[in-house]
Amino acid sequence: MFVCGALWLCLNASAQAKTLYVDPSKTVGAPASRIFDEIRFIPLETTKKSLFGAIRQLVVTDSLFIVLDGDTDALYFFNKRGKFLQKYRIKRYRIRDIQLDRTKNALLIFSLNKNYNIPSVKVQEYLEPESQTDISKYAKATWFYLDNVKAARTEDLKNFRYAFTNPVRFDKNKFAASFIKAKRTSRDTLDYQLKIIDNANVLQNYFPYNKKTESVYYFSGASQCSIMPTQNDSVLLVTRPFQYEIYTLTPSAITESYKLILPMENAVPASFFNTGFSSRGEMDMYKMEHAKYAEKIQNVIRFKNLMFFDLNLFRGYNRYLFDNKTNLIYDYNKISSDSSSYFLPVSGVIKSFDEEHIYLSISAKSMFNAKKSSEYRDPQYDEVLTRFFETRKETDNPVLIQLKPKEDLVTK
Amino acid sequence: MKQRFLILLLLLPILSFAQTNGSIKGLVSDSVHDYGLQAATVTVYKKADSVLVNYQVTNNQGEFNIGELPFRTPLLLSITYSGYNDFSKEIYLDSLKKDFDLKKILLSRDTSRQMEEVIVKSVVPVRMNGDTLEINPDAFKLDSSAVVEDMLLRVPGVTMWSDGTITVNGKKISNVFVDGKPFFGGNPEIATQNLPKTAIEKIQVYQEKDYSKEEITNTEMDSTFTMNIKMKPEKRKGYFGKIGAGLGTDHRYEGDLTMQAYNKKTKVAIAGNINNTNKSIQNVKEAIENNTFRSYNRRNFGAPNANANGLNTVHYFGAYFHHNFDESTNSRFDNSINGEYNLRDSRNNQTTNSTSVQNLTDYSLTNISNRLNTSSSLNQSVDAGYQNRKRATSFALNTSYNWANGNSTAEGNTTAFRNDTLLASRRSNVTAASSHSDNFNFNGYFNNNDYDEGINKKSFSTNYAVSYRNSESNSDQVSRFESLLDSIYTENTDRKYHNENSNFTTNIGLNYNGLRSLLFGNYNFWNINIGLRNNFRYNKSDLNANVLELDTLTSTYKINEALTNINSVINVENRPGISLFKTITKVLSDRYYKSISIRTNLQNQFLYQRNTSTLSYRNLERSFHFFTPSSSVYYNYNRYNKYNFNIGLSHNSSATAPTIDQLYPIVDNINRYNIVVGNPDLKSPLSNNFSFNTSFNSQRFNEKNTYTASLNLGYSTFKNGISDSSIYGNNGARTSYLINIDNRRSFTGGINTSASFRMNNRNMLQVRYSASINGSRSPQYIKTPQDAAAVLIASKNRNQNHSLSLFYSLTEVFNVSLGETISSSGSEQIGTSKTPLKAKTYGTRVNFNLMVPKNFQLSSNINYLNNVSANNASIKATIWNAYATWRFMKMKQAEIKLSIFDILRENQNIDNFANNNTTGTTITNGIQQFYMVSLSYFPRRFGGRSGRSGRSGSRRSEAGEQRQQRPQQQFRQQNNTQRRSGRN
Repeated sequence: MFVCGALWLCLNASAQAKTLYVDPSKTVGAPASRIFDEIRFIPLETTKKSLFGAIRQLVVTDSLFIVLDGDTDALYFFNKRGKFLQKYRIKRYRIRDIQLDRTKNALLIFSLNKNYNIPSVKVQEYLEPESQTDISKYAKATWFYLDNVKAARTEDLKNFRYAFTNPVRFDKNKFAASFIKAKRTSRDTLDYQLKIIDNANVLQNYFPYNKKTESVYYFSGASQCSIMPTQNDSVLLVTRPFQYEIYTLTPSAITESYKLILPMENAVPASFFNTGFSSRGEMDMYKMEHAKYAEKIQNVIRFKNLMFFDLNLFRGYNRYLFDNKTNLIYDYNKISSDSSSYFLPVSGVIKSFDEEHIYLSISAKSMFNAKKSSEYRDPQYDEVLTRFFETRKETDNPVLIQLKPKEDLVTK
Repeated sequence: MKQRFLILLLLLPILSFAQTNGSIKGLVSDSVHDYGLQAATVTVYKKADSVLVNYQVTNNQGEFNIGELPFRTPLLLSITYSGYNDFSKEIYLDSLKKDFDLKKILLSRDTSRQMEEVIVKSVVPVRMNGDTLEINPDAFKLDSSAVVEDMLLRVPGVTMWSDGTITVNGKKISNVFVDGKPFFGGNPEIATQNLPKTAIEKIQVYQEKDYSKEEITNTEMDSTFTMNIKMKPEKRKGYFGKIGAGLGTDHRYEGDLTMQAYNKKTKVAIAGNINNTNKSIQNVKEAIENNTFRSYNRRNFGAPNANANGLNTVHYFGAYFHHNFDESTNSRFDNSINGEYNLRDSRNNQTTNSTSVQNLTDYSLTNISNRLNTSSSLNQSVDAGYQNRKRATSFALNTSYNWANGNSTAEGNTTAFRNDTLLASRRSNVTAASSHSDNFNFNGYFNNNDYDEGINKKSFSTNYAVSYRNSESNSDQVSRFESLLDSIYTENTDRKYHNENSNFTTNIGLNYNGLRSLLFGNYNFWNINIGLRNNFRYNKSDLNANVLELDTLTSTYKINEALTNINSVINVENRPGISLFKTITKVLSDRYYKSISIRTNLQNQFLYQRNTSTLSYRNLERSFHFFTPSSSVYYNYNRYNKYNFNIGLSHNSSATAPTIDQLYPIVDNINRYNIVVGNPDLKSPLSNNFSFNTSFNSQRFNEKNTYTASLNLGYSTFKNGISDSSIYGNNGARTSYLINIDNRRSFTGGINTSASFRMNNRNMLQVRYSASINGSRSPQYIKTPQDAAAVLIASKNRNQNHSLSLFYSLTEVFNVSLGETISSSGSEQIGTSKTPLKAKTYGTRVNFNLMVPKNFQLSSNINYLNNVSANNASIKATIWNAYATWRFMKMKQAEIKLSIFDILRENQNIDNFANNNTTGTTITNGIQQFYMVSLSYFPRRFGGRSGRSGRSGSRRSEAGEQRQQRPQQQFRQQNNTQRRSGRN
């Protein structure tokens, strides 16, 4: 019955979806000042304790920047002016994902024990409803309370199986999770790409797939759905591997909001799903030979009329900005720096967003390089940047770029 | 990401330039949305002939500022950008108006064309495409006959070292591929000195894993830089080669024939060579390396080998075949067969004079000997192989068969003196020998790399090898030994040896890398990888020796019972072991990468030996077992944009069982100066070897200079090392008894440093220094008739070699290199009163190449040697050669070359040696002065017959060249009308 329900929703939804024709060779660019109202650079304080590599994930709250650094496996808490407050690591665990849980005013952390390598086949076993294994020592879900960061008060969610899959907090006490894995020897055939769960049970299922025969999901590294938060806890954006639709998930339904149409050379053809990959090597080979095919849409962020999104290819990725009003698609990499950004770069992966801003980061080395190459323009830096260039080094912590997108973009 | 970063470093230097003369600047912008177009290509040509003057890619804001533009020359500026109409403008600069500002140039979208964008884009000389650096040949204006190497010499960031190494911004290129595959054996020169620039679509440089490694551990040391030459689709079929002949004075001649043909899947080569100029050709690869199209090559291939001993005549023929079963151009995958046939008929005439000094306890013994040797041999071999490498598995089979016939005669005289003056003994010997051998080898491996999710449960590798050798030899040896100090004897020996030998060896290796997950399941055991190793080796060797001896009384040959025997020996070795491997890495993005890898192999060595012989004292059966661990630590520190630093330390140990000929040798007294008597009580020597190496290389972008340095140290000790207890007779004869002595040790050390300075696009200076030192301490016993008992002495030997070279090149005009080498060897006997012996060689080398006027090349090299031997005799030799070549015909396919070899007639080969208590110098005759005129023709065609002319290779290539050089121009003409609309 659930299947029918899900399918009906999809069909129903597709009627309202907006179709975008994305041709990577036909996108436009713009100077930064035409896209953003305000550009601020926020250096993150560098001390012996706060020195980290690169920002893998960034969570922005009303008063904090929380950085997950993959190089040092640690979380770094900074205040909104970039002053270092606290470092946090989970001993023996590698932090894989962080997200803000507004209902609890806590940071939800998913981590895996460094001492174990759990293959995806095993994870799938652990996710079976009848599984009895206590997974607490392998995977962890931890709330880090943000009321007093220095106190580092935490609470673990015990034996939460879906912690392996980095589920996304949804509708107060639920999660949206995706774990797609097919196996030739699988007993069952039916599984779902997207599940709504509470702490222990699956509540809703969306997007069925055959977990015995769909060879594109046989091997580890097979893509999962991307589940992206919005400003509203009860609304998530969802995309699926090898599909080019963007769905909106609400507690009651999933609706198709956008449908991307890609040129032939970028769209995975139907034959891909029927290829019948017999080994991971074969699949990797296919991806190497068809490097331009798009694997998934990711990192979707909406601001009123604007939508930022990434298109991941089998090799490489493209980043776009869609303006709903003018129907123009900007290539984010063609947004060039200008005097509004002191001729410092504003490109890169969007690491986070809040109600008004998107956040990017740039390494201190790139900051200094950019300064050097734009010196002849004699840019007038603000106080923060002036101090940064005077007192900091190339090996310091990365700098955050806070960008406030315009409400209405002008095209010229 | 890191990979991309590294490649990005390769690109950066080309973005910097100095402004010398005039300049043009401007801002390229989208006409509709008015934003700066990043990475638009701005190119400046000479208007008259479309020669590229300079180019630039616009910056983030769409701006460009092109410098180094000539005055008073009509220039054409062209701007192209994917998806837009292009723009062009004529510009004239002079000292009054030397900087031209185009201000904002609005480019309009082009909706009509898609396909031609490819051509437009391709004019950027170097660009990044994802992780790959791409060099575009069309951007380099060169002579129509230019080959890939002519172009590489001009690519910013690429350094062609004087020894043939290629680096791209300090990073050494390990493989040069053509369309993802090794080209005729993989030597870079075969591709870079033969393939015309015009046949190339692009050259890619990227970092990839070293797939030839058995275990890939995801650390920096598994990465290599690869240069891939991508051919234009229509040029993936062609042939090239050389036909040449030369005649010289002194009856010197040489003849070359090489022909190579290729298509997408198959490569075929034949090679033939005849010469009596000491050119040594062993196989097809060597023959085609010697005969590349580019007339100047840094490694001096094709010149007579001045170091070859004696006078050699070689007649060689070979054929090579390689076929890929698929057309994949990815170097990771391979599914191919290859085969090779070689026939080599050679003759050698050699005169050797040598002096050796042996330090004994209270006097020294000097042996002066001369030897005349002539030999001839006919070798033939057939090889075949199959390789299959997939993403996770690799499999290979190789088989070879070779057979050889050889004849030789030698005459030698040796005189031994005590303390240089007192004549002790004389020996003369005459040998005539013939031999025939057949060898068969077969080997293969299979590796399975279960890389899915890092579990490795099914990761294993196996290898197998078998070889069989059957040989038969006859030799007649006549020897006369006269003792001049002992009153007694003069000994005449006349023997006929007939040996039949067969040898069978097989080796099976098994490695299993998934033990950890098998033992611990999901638990990763502190990330220590555990593997199981086993290597089994079986060897059986049979000998049937018949020795006849002349009985002087009856003048008939009788069987020598002591030497005639049938012997069969079996050696079995098994080395099981367990290996542990761990890598710790620490990364701070954009700042550094550190890794330390620790590996240890705990292994046992079992040896079993059985000998059966018709000589009853040689029957034995023994077995041994040893614990022979090996370990290594490797540290890598990469400071981004600064340098890369490695340190490695390793240890290994192994044991060898004494052979039957060390335990119970058949004592043959035919050479009185060296009679070896065995020792049945010999124990197995166990060696412990330590090595240390470190290397540093600069990896700074925006730097035109690169620096590298490396240091290697090695140290070995032997427990129960097998050494001599030598008993010398008054007459200089020596009998050595083998004994076990501890404390034998040796060390080696080497330093290599190099620096390359690129002053500008054409001027380059390279400096290299390398030094090596090795030494050993070998204890032994010596007893002379004067000694009451054997005396323990220790011989300390030292060899040193220093070499410094400078290389300066002005591309297309000349290059010159200067080198100085000093090598010395010395020997000291601790425990004797003798002074240490020393021999030294000083060498100075100058090499000069002049490449103007066009099509002419003049080169000359002088090598001055001064050798001071152990007894202080100085021998000097200056070897001076000169060559002049002229290339003619339209595509420079014909060449006349005049060579003068050894102008001063002084060439000879001088070698110093030191081992145990002996130090000496050997002088062998070499080829001397001759003049030669040679004529060569290089048949070449790249691309199929379906082309426009389809007649001669040269015309095809030329037509191709014209097409390539002016894509811009053609493009402009085609789209004349559209361009106007794009003009501001």
